[in-house]
Amino acid sequence: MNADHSEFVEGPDGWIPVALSVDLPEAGVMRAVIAGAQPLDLVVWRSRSGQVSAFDNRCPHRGMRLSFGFVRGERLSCIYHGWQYGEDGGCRHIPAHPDMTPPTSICANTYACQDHDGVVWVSKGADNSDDLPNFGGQGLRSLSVERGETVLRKLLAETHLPVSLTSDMQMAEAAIATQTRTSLVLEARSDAKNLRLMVHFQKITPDRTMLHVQTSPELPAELRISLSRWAERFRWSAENLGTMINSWDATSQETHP
Amino acid sequence: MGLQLYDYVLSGSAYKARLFMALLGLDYQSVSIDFHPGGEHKKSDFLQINPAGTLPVLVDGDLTLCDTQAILAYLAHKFDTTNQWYPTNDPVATGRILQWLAFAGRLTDTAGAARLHDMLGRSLDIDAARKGAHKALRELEAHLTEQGFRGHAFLIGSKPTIADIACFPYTALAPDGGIEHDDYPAIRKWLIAIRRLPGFIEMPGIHRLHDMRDEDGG
Amino acid sequence: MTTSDVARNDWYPVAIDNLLTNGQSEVVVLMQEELTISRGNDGVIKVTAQDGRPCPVAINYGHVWSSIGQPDHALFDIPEAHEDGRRMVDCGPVRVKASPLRVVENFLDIAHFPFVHTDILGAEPHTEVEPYKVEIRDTVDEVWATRVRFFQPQAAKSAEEGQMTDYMYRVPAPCTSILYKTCPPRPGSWDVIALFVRPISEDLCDAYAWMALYDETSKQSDLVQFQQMIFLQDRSILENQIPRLLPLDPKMEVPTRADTTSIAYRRWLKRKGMTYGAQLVAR
Ligand SMILES: N[C@@H](CCC(=O)N[C@@H](CS)C(=O)NCC(=O)O)C(=O)O
Ligand code: FES
Ligand SMILES: [Fe+2]
Repeated sequence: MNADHSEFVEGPDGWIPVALSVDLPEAGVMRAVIAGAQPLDLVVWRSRSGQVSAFDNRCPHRGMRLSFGFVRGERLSCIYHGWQYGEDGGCRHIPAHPDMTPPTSICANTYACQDHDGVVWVSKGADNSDDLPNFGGQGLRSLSVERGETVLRKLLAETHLPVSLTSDMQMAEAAIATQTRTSLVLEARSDAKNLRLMVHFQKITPDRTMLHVQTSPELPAELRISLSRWAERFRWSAENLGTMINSWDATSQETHP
Repeated sequence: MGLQLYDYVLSGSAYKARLFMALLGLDYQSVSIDFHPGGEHKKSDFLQINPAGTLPVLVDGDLTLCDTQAILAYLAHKFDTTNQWYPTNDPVATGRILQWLAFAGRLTDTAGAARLHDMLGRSLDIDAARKGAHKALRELEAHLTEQGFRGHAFLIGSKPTIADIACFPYTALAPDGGIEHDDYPAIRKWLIAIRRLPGFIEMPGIHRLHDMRDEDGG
Repeated sequence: MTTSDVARNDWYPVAIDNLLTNGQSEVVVLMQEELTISRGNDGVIKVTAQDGRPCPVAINYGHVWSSIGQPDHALFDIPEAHEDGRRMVDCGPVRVKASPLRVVENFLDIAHFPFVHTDILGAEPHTEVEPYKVEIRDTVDEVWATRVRFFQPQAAKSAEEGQMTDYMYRVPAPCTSILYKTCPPRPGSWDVIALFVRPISEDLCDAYAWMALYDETSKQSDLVQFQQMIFLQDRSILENQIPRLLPLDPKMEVPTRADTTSIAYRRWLKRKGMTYGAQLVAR
């Protein structure tokens, strides 16, 4: 059994990337799914002051998904009856009873959440031991791919990246510079400069992955557009190689038990 | 006589016209057609007005327009004095806008169809509708991502045009047809940008942005 | 009675009477069973199950009612339906990916008005729910909530300005909810709005809204669309409540005083053994 598989039973340990920081602006609210036998449905939100938090995506009152909610100041409100929660998950205000102080027992289930190096990370466990990368990258885009993480890591090892700004887009071979539990860094050499691409993997199901992609900082818009198109093409090839990839994946597991 | 809109409250297409008229600050008379459950849009009285049997229809004096995208173009030409919403003096913008108006038709045929299936029980190939919707949303996501790199919040540039109005409703209402926005961060930002436009109005399925009220939190 | 009997042996809406013409038939699903509703050339409506067995038929409140079991009681009465001067409005079925019981419970709730029906049925800062009275009337086996009051910016199609609106709620059957509310053009009378729900499965249903109103001026299609607007604002809420089944375990969700009707409704369902569309133990 490969390492991936157990994660879909118990759910992954440690920090999991769920969004690029730029895609969760102040007062932003989004949904994130974490793989597992019982996948986690989470709401991830950012307060006005910039603090990020993650809760079970289920309002303690009547079960409404909190990802439909809205942020005012430092609180997340549920869209259904407007109950307000602080970043610790505690209910602070119940509009139907405006003069009542909600009992501390009313509390959304919280997860550790941090904004680190341009990525929003969530952790299931209390153990927040830091194994997060420090790439200093700039957010490019997040995209979902109908493929498992293992396959995507393999395909990325063989990719070519656009590296120049000329219209006859120059492609350079990319090499994996670093791999970690959550992430992978690709490097391509062009002219004098090295282009780096950081890919963070968020497993959704065994066959579905959200990729959060960052680049070296301060790239011109034209190159970022080229890289975004590269990401589209990469996804297309990953999704269209069909059976070939699956069998390749299976054999490689046999040869490297 | 002023503008008249043959209208249905749950129609995303009719909402394009309502929304645009609201953003332009135009008054109009809404004539409600019993699309569901009555099926009035397929009955002979209404077919006299629009033989295609679709909503909305805009009537302005002697003019009757039966296509949503045509209605947007007409309203922009006639009433938008700023020339922002449909800048026909700019050939590139015009070409691009027309391209997105056509794309809006794809959204109606996919995400809009899935919504009719899930919400009103219309029988159709739901898997094909959802698949087509996700394909269209991926295209929209890719374009909006690139617009972001250019510093542009909207489909054509830094200001909204009728292209945004045409594509907004069925994108925003996609979850009504079981098509979630989770995979599309650039689309989510664009939807919010449109919902924050001065004069914006909602329709059922698109909630009020309550964070715009004064902040009484923490 | 076993739990499923309670659900099986009840009446559910299967069609709108007026929309079924002579010689026409329609297929609908009731609790996972396909039923064919047909109107003969003589105008008589028959409901047939997939295995060919005839199902009971009742026609009332603009709808055709049937059952996959054998109801031991007549369809509940709505006395207001027989009052002169009311307009009956059929609003049509809307499909919702949620338990029919969640749909009924939402209909009994007023605290969501400012957030879900903003500027129509409610608006901040008028969010307070004053105490009201709830009882399970054992003689009729119904849940009733009375003396419910809420501030509404536009209480009905016919309303011209904001007002305190009075409500009463009545649950005559697990999948039916009826509300009575202040009638803007006729102070002192009640408008009647009902939601009849047909379970397709435990977490999918068709909801038919029906109204008996005092309103002589509004166009029929405007009345239908006002109600559809309201219900479709609720739909995206209902499809996003977790779990999709209604939890009957009191530990599962946290109510407050504003939810007294919902608490009584859940208790009443549990007592009746109505578990179709419900979740008994916390998961
Ligand atoms: N091509 C039409 C499409 C508009 C449209 O699809 N309207 C829907 C209402 S949302 C409609 O009338 N559909 C008729 C039907 O589906 O039978 C236009 O752009 O005006
Ligand atoms: S369900 Fe969230 S406030 Fe009621
Ligand atoms: Fe509601």
